[in-house]
Amino acid sequence: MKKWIAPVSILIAMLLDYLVFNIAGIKSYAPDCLVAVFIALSLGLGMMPMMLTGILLGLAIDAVANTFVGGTSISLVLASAAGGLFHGKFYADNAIIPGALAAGFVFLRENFMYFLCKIMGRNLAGFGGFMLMHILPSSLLTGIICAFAYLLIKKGKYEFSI
Amino acid sequence: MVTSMKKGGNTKRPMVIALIAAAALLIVVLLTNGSSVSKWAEDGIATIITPIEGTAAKASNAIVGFFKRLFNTTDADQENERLRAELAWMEQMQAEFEEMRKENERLTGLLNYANSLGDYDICTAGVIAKSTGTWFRTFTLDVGRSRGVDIDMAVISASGLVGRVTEVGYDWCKVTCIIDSSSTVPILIERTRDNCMARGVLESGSGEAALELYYLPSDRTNLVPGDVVITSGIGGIYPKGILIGTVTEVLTEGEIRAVIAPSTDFEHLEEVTIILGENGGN
Repeated sequence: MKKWIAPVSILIAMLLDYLVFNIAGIKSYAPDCLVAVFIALSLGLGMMPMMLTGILLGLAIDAVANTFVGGTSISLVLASAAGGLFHGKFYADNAIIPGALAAGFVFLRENFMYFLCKIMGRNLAGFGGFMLMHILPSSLLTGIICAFAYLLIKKGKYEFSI
Repeated sequence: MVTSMKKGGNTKRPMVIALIAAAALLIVVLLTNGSSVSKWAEDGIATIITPIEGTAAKASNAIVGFFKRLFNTTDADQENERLRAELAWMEQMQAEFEEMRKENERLTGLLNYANSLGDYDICTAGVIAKSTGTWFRTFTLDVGRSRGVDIDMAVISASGLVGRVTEVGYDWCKVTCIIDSSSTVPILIERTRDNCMARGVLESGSGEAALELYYLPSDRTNLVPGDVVITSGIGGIYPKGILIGTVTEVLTEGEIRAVIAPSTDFEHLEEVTIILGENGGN
């Protein structure tokens, strides 16, 4: 794979997440572009490099912007691990597997976050509304973006060792 | 006959050439020797030639000028380029000036609002990052311990309360907004002077956070949409009298609750003020 593809993909995903979706104030339906790109890249590059990148990048993002330092790291490491499981598998060399993987990952993560916030005593609206208005749309959009990202990243390869 | 004519013409030609040459030489001698005759000849010739020459020169200059303008445009191009660069620079300056004007307006509003609250030590800060994801509403400011910022200091904007400082570093701090689902603010309803609490609530519909008024005594049911809500000062974190928002909806089933629309636009915060403490105090 061309050396610049991974950093450029991650950079574009961050710009989309933090500049486009975050500043535009459309958090509810916003896909998680960074997770989508990490899953797409880990399918191509394997688990370990993306997990290491995820730890460092997640810590940096959390230190700068978020309340819980380490939360983003965990999310990116798990996403890399999930994508890495399919690294080198012939049946995963298509847009459907990474797309479904990303959608499923975000779906589970957001459900987990909802119940975690509830346990922490945060004041949230009903679960049904969250499922329909936030969890499902953002999961599906992340899956779609991951599928496109996988195809685009494959286009820029020298060798995408599957 | 024809032959004799040709012969005659050929024999006369050298003579004609010689005569012309001689006449030309005579003229040259006469013009250059300074005699009165030569002066007269010179003046006569000049008198005749000068107007012709002048006209020719004017015509020539006009033609040269025309072609210079037509083809030799180097100076004009350079001038044009220079003016274009100047115009671009002026436009850039105009944009910067406009940005500074808007910033000045925002900061003036911020300062005026902070001053209207009372005699407080304040510190203005810029927003440098916002939290990611749906679940939390925090942002990071570009000032920290080095400017006297500490945990639990109130943060305000020109339009009202923003939140409180929850983490501090040397030159940064993180602020939890009042609309974060973990936030609680003691409030006062300005019209009725009722004390109660407001908490951030994360709505499922738009994902937009809002404030919910609760702990209102059940016998106080005269709360109406449009009522202004301010901080009560109870608890010591938020000084009294900071605008929070207005009541938009009152729910009277069971415990009385109300939805408050915050006065601050949390999506477009650029500068905020941190209240460091009362002026002269700790």
